[in-house]
Amino acid sequence: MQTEIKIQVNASNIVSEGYAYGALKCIKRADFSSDEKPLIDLEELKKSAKDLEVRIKREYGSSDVLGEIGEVHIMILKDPLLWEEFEKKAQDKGGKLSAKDVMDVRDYIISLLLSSGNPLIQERQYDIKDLFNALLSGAVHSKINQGDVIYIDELYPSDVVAFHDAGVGAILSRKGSPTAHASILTQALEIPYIYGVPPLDEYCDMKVFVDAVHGEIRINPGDVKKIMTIIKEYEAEKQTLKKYSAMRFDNIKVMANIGFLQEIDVARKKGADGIGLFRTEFLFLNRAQPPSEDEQFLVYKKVLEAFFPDKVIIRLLDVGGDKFVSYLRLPEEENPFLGVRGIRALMENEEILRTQLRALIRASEYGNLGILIPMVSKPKEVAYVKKLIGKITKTVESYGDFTLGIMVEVPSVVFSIEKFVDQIDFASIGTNDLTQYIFAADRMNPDVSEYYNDEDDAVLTAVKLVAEKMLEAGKPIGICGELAGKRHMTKKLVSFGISSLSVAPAKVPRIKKAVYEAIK
Amino acid sequence: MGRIVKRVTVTNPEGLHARPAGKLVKLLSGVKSSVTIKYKGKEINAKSVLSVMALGINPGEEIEIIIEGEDAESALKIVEGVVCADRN
Repeated sequence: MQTEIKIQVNASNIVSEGYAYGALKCIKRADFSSDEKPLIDLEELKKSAKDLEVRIKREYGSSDVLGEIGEVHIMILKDPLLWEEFEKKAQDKGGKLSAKDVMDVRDYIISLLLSSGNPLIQERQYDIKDLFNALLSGAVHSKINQGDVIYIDELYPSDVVAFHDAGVGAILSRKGSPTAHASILTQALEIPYIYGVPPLDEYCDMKVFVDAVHGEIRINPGDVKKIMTIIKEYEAEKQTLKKYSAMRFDNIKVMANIGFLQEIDVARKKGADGIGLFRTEFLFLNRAQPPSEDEQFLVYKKVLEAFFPDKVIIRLLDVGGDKFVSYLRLPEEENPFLGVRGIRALMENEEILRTQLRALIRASEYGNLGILIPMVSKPKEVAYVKKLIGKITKTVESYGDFTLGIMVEVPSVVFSIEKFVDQIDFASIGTNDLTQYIFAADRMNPDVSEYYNDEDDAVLTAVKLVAEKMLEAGKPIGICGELAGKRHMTKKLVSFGISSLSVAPAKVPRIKKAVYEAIK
Repeated sequence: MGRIVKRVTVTNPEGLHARPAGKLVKLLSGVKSSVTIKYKGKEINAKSVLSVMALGINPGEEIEIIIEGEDAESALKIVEGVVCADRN
């Protein structure tokens, strides 16, 4: 019997939830970069593109998410710019292209998308790679059996469709992003999928258990019987979940954490009672200049309108020295997680904070807004933001009601919560960072993973303490860390009187079910 | 033959990023006129989704639309419908 190997993965890299047990299939793509293949006639390439179009129409269908992505692929196949480039290449060789020429065009198109500076557009490079791969090889994946667990470097949309048809159990990829087309497809087709997994090449063809609920991969798992029970129970429960999505409870809300506009639809579909945490980092990262006030205003307005009359809690930019943002003044630090981050970084970059607050206050007319201050450790930080808000409300043309709250993630706030209560309208406990700071253990550092435990009494006592003080003052207290999404902890959190649990959109129905069971 | 040149501010909250760019090109597929977008000194064919995406136009920014052809008026309506849509 081979020994079992457990590999932890970051739960936030789970794109599509679920469990699977099967053989690990390692997928390698063909390499077209060598120039040895015979030249392709441009006309032949055009015909291949036409054939591919027909295949996409057939395989992706015309409904829902699948059809939409298929439509985009067909649009790219017909793109005038693409064919201009092919023609340019073919002109030099009497109407023919080498495989390398085709790949050069591919790389040129990708370089254009990368130069856009927008992460959502940059992600379309995978669609381009997917199409060129299909254009040159025409081959889809063979030798995949039902129930296999796929391990691949980069996942493309057509892969997901093919894997779904083959009935694979789960997909693991080295690279990826939650908003890429391939990711959206795994959600739509309900295939468990985790990206950003460590290299698994040495385990090819071994048996593997994928836990895409908590974030664990187990190679050669020992207790197969127990695994099968877990999978069976999970699948049975899935069937009953729909009715819980629509439930609403009097004293507790189940809200969604989102970080992109594209997640609005799924949060609504899953029945979220509003947004408990809207991260705004996507607006600021990977670009040379900060987003303008108008750009931010339009984004905030959209999410507020989408959930009105439900609450949407928007968190101010939360970055620190671990993220490089060229236009922010951030010191180089030995220890960014104990350094200038969250509100501390915003106070050092007041013009960024002022612009964001102005955009939020202008958008407040369009919904039920809560503004959330990240990484608060002292009351003076709240006073600072309040003063700024006071100045801004005097200068904007019009604004609606909104509330102001703080993230509780630094232990100093837990132990001096009385000093904050009167200054704020609500608070949200970020249990991930709070746990890190309570145990002085980095969540991402495997050497100290045994110290990081958000279910420990040390964390729960902190949560309880903050909840009591907030509820005494009649102010809402939410939880927006991973702890909020742990079903076996729901009952306990409900007993603390927590006003809202904010979780990944996909988790909303299960947490609603857990709340229902806790209070019935 | 009509020719329209118009400056507009992008109010679509997703800018002209991936999804709206696709929508624009899809809607323009039936249009006969040529449609050009001018942005930060670059001029591109608005019927090419790759070209539109490559510009990475953010919400709140200003672009120039140049349309030439027999159905220029209806083409402008399509472009403005996507670019200036503040909900979709």
